[in-house]
Amino acid sequence: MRSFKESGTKILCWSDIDGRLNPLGLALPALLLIVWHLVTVDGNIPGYLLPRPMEIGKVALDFALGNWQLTPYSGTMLDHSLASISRVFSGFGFAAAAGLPLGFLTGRITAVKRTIDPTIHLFRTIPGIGWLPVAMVWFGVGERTTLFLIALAAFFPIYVNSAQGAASVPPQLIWAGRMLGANKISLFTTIIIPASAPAVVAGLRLGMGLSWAYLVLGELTGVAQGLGAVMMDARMLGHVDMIIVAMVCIAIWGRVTDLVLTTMFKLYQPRAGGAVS
Amino acid sequence: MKNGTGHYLLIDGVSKTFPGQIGRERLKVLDEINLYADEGEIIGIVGPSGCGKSTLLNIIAGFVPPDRGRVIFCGKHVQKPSPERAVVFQTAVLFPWLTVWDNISYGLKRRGEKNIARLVKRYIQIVGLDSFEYYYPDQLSGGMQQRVALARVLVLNPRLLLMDEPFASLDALSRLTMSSFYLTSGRS
Ligand SMILES: Nc1ncnc2c1ncn2[C@@H]1O[C@H](COP(=O)(O)OP(=O)(O)OP(=O)(O)O)[C@@H](O)[C@H]1O
Ligand SMILES: [Mg+2]
Repeated sequence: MRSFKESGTKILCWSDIDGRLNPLGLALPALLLIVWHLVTVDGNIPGYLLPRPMEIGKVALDFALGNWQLTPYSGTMLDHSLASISRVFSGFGFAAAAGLPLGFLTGRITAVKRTIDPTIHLFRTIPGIGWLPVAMVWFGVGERTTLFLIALAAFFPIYVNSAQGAASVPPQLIWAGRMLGANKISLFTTIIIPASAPAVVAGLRLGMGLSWAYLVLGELTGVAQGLGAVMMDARMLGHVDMIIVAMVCIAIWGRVTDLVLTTMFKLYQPRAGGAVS
Repeated sequence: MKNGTGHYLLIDGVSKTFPGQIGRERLKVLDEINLYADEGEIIGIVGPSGCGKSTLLNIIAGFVPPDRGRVIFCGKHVQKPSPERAVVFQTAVLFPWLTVWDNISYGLKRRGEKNIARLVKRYIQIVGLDSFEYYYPDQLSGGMQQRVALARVLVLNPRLLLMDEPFASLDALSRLTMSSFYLTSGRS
């Protein structure tokens, strides 16, 4: 029975954790901005290496709204962001679609673990960036190489953490479930999945972080649209300000996608959600 | 309820060993245990810590198989857990991601019960946890957790109640009429 009271607890937990702003967390960014401003304002560091924060802010606003035509990228933030986000979600989606089921199978079934785990870990030792040359041979530059790199890089943490989480469900919880009448399927959906959820979410978050990293790598090989493409393009046009603005965009979108994951988890498991930040 | 073995619950020559420390021989925990219980009986198993009370309970519950011997319950060879043989663990072993209410309704949902709300409410009252329905296990004291664990199995109306060191839930239990239960409890 899902009831009013129960959802009340959920909202409470949620706002307890995220409802308050943490002033200490803002102190460091503010300090960095001040230092950045001070070292650039009197020309100690020239603008073509590191523009002033105010200028970056202006270029960023122009990138978003397109009202000043400061750079060739004026007003294109949404398009480039959407291109990048959709690549991240597709690549991450492939990784999760493969990593979650394989991870759970490895974690719960010894025969599956013996069969696939050693091989997967062998592939895992190849650094993701090491796949770039062969990916370019197989998929050409751009779109498909990017998706391949993201999917590959994000797969491993998702797989490893799901397997670890599924394997470390306390046996007594499984006994309790079976004793209370759970069959194989409900045991999986009502005990094993929720009990391994914290580890699974940790894997998804690591995978999402890597997705953004490999997005940039893939997009640098050459795509028409995307924040990585903007960075590469702006470098050739000598627009350091745009490179930095694109980096900031990636940081923000990376944080937003991470928050989406943690929020979904908190809604799914309000109690355990407190342990994830 | 008499049957071929003649007893409601029969523990027949049950032995159990566990792997010993590296280089040592296996640890003999249960050696040829024979025990029977009839309908309505309450049995306490007493022994020092580490003598195997929980292990015996786990075998009766069907969680772990004995090395030798067998457990017969209501004429059937026990081979897996069942809601008929309810267990209250030594530590409560509640589902930490579920509220008190959802922990207690868990078994009823698996059974496809219709009157879940009414039953859960009643058993929450019986174990004295009204107004704690929407607490999570980690917000409860140890004794309260034990009472949730008790309610979670009693609501399924089991035929055998196996309780591992049930002191924490004893007073809740005493408020019940136990005549319909077959009770085996392990305690040190
Ligand atoms: N999974 C296991 N692997 C190895 N040894 C085990 C395992 N489970 C229990 N034992 C051993 O079996 C013996 C009996 O354990 P058990 O938990 O049944 O004791 P107990 O009588 O319930 O003790 P207590 O009163 O302290 O709860 C102990 O020596 C313990 O070390
Ligand atoms: Mg014990």
